[in-house]
Amino acid sequence: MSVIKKEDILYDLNGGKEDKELEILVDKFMLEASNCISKSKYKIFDTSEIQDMLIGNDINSYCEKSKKVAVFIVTLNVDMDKRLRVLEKTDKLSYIVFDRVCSHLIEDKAEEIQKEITKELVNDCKFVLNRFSTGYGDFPIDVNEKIHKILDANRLGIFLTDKNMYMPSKTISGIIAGGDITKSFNFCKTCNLTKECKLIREGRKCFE
Amino acid sequence: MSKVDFLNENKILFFDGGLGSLFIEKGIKFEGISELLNITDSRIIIDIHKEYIDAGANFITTNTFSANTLKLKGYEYSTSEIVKSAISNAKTAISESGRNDVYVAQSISSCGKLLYPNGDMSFDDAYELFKEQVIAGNEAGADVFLLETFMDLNELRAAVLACKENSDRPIFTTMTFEENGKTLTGTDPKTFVNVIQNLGVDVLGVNCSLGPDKMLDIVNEIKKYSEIKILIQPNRGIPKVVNGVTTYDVSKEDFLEQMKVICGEGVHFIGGCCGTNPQFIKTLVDNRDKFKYTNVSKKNLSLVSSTTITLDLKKDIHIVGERLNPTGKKVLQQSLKDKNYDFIAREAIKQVECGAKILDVNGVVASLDEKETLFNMMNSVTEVVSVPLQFDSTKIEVLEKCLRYYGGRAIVNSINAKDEILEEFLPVIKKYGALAIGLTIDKNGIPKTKDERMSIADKLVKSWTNYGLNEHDLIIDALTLTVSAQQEEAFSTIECIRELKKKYSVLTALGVSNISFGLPNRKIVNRTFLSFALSSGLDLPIVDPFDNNVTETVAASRIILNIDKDSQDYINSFKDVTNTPVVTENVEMTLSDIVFKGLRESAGTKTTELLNSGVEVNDIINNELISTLNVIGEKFSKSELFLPDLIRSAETVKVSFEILKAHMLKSGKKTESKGKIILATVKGDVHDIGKNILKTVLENYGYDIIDLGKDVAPEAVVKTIKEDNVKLVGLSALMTTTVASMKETIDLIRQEGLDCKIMVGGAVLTQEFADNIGADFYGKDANSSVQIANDFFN
Repeated sequence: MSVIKKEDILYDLNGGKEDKELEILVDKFMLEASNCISKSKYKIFDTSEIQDMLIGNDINSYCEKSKKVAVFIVTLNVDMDKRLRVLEKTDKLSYIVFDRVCSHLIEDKAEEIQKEITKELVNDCKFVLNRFSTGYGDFPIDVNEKIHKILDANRLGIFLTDKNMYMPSKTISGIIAGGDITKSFNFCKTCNLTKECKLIREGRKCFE
Repeated sequence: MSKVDFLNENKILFFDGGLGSLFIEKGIKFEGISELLNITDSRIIIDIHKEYIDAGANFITTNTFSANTLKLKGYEYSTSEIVKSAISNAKTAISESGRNDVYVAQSISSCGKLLYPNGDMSFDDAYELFKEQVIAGNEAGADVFLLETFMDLNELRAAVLACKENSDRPIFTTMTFEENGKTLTGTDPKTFVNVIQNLGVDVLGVNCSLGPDKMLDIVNEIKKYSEIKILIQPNRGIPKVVNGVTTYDVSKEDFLEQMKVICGEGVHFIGGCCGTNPQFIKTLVDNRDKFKYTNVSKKNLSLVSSTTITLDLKKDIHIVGERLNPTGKKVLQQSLKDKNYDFIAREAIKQVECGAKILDVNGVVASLDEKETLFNMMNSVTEVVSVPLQFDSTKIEVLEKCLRYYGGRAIVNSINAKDEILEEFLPVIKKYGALAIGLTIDKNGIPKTKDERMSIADKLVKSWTNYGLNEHDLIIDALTLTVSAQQEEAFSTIECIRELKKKYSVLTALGVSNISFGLPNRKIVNRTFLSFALSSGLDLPIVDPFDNNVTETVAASRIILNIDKDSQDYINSFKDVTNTPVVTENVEMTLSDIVFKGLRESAGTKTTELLNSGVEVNDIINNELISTLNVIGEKFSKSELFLPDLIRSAETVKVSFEILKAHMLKSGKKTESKGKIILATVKGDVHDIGKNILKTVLENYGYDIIDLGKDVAPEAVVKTIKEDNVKLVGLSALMTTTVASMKETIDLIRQEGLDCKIMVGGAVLTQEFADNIGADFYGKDANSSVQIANDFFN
C-alpha cells in the first residue's frame, strides 16, 4: 500500500508555497499513480558471495562487517514512461508534476522492499542498514548489469540500455546489508548533492 | 523434413517441458549461461532431451533460449556454434531414442533489450540478432523455429521477419502474459493474434509466466481470434522462492486437470514451461484422449491493430483522423520542414482526445523526402498514442518502410484498380499482413456512375482474393464527388456503398469533405452527406475529428444504428452539455499579467484581442512576452519562483506564440528566429526532463530548437550540426556515467572542426566538470541556459 504524501511532493515542487492548481494536479496524479502495478524482486546472499558487485570505496565501506546482503530491484511499469511522454508533449506542468509523483512512488516502493528485506534479514542479523543504490557515491551504475542478471530482471519487464541504465526509467536497484555488529552508515559522506540538500539545510537526513 | 508432416496432422502433438527449472531440479551447476552446456557438457542436454522423448514429446526444444550475440557477449562461443551444437544434441537424442515422429524446435527468445519506443534497441539491430540465430538453425536443420516467451510484440515481429526472410521452415510463436491478461508491454491476446497470424506464422500461442489455472481467459481469447493452430505451454503454477530456491507446488495430476480445462477443444500443440519436467509431459501424453482435436476455422474478422489496441472494424463506426495529412495545411507543412515532430505528436494526441479511433498519416511535403518524413511521423505518433495507424502514400517504398517497422497491423491508404499498382502493392500488403483501402479508380480515372464504380470494385475484390488475401480485409473507398460541380452523379457514391455492403463482406471508407467544395456553410453539407453515408453502411469516415459536426453526427448515428447500446457512449459524451449560452471571458489583465500568473486559458483570447486592435506581432513578443519571461527568470534564479511557476508561464507564452505564428503564416510573413539550437540528452542517458524543460523555455524566447531526444549518439549530433548549420548545441546528462558520453560528443564535434559552441547541463554537472570535458558553457538551470543563448546570439 503506497503512502506517498502530497505535502512532500508539493514541497519538492515549490517549497510548499500555496498553489491550488498544483495541489489539484498532485491529487489527480497521485490517484492515477495509485493504479500503477509495480514489480520487485530480491535475493539474499552471504556478503562473500557477491564480492564482484561491491565496486568502489563507498559500497565496500557500507558492507564492511556485514554477513548478509540483499540485492533488490523495483520498478514502475512502462506505462508510466509512456504517460510521461504524452504529458511532455501536451502539458508541461502536468509532466513535471507526474514525474515528481512517480519519483516519490518508486522511492516508496523501494521503502516497502526495504521493510520486507529487513523483516527477513533480522532472523540472521542484529542490524540491517538502509538501502544503498547503484549510482550513490562511487557505487557505479555499471553494477546494474550484474544486478539485472542475478535477479533475472528481464522477467519483471526491466531492461538495460547500453550504458546500463534501466528501462522503465522509474526503476531502483541496490543492496541492503545486515550483520551482527551494530553499525550505522553516514550516507551523506557518499552523496554528491549535499551542498544543495534541502534536508541538510533543515537539519534532517534522508537515511534517518 | 516436410512442413506438412506435423502441421497437417489431425491430432494433438506434444512439446517438451521446462529446461532451466530442470537444471535446478537435477542440481546441474554451470558457469555463465546454460546454453554453453551444449558444447561443454552436451551429454547432459542429450539425456534431458531423451527423457522428454521417452515421456512421449513430439517436439524437443533446443537449449538455445538465450543464444544470441548480445547475451553471449564475453563468452568464447559464437551464436552459430551454440545453435548448431544444440540442434545436433537434439538430433542425437532423437536418433538414440529410435523414434521417427520427433522434431527439433529451435528456441529463440527475446534479445534481452527493450525495443524503441519503450527501450533503446532498434528494430534493425534486433532483426540482425535473430537473423544470425535463424541462419545457424536453418543450416543445422532445425525443423521449426520456436519464437517463445516474447513480451514485446514488435520484437516478435522482428523475429518473425528474420525467420521468413532467411528460411522457409515453419514458425511457432508464443508470447507470455501477466495475470492482467496483457504482456509487460501492454499487448493483449487479441492484438497478438491479429498482428502475428497476419504476418504469416504457422502456429501461435502462450507460454510461461502463469500456471494453466490462470491462463483460461487468455487461451479463450486466442481461440476466438486465431485462424491457425495453437500452442499452449504453461508454467507449473506461479513459482515461489523458498530459502533462495525457486519451487513450484502444482502436482502433475493437478496440472493435467487444469490443462484439460484450458485446452479442451481447439488447442493443437500442448507442452509445459518452467517447473514442468518429463513426468508432467508423460502425464499429458498418457491422457491425450482427454484433449479433443478440432480443425482451425476462418473467423472472417476485420481487425486493425496497434501494439496494444485492436479494433473490430465490422462492429462499429471508426473515425479516421485526417489532420496528419499536410496537403493544404501550412502549419503542419512548416512543422515538418522544421522537424518539429512535437507538433505532430500533439496533433495526434488531440485527434484521439476528440474521438479518432485510427489516425491517417501522410508525409507528402514539397522539398522533403516522403519516406523519411512519413517514417518520422509514424515514430512521433506511436510514441504518444496507442490507436492503430493508416499509412497514406502512393509510393510502395514509402509504405513498405512503414509497414515493416510499425508494431501493429496497419491500413494501407491506398491502392486502386490499375494493373501495375495491384501487381506492385499486393505482395507487400500480404507480406506484412496489412489491410488496404481500394479506391474505385482505374486507368480511366474516377467513373461517374455507380455501376462503373462497382465494376472497378469487382476487379479490386477479385484481384485481392485471387492473391490469397481475405475479402474482409479490403476497404473500398467509393470516392466523394463535389456536389456543386457534379450534382447528378454525387449521390452515386452513397448508392455504391449500399451495393458494396450487399454484395461483399468488404468494408467501406470515405473522405467526406470534398462533397461541399465551393459551397457556403460547408459543414451542413458535410454533416448531411456523412449521415447518408453512415446509414448506407460506411465503416470508416476519414474526417477532421476537431469538427464537432462530424463527431456529433457519428455519435448520434451510433445510437440510431444500434451500435451504441443503451446510448451509453452518447450520454457520457453529452451529459454535461446544457443550453446555456457561452459567455465570452472578459479578460481585463494585460498579456504580461496573464503570462506572469500562468493563465493559459486567457492567453489566446488576449493575444487575439491585441492582434485585432492592431498591435504589431514584434511588439507583443518583446513588450508582453519576453520582458515578462525575463522577470520570471530573474525571480526563479533568486528562488522567489519555482519550476512549476516557470513552466506555467512558459506554457502560457506558448499559447500566445502559436496564435502569433498562425497569424504570420496567414499573412504570408515568416516568424523571425533568434537562432537555431540543438538539444540532446547524450548517448546512454534516458532521463530527459531537464532537457525538455529547457526546450520549452528556449522556444519561448524565439529560438528554433532541434530536439534530438534522449540516448543520442555523438554521430547524430554532428550530422545535425552539419545539415542544419547549427551554431549552438545543448547537451544534457543526469548520471555521472553518461557524462563520459557527453565528453565523447564534445570530442567528436571538436575533431570534426565544426564552428559550433557547446553548452552542457544536468544534475551531476558543475562548472568545473563542464570545463574538464571541454564544454564552452555550463547551464546551471533553464534560466541560466537561456542567458547563455541570449548572450551567444546577441
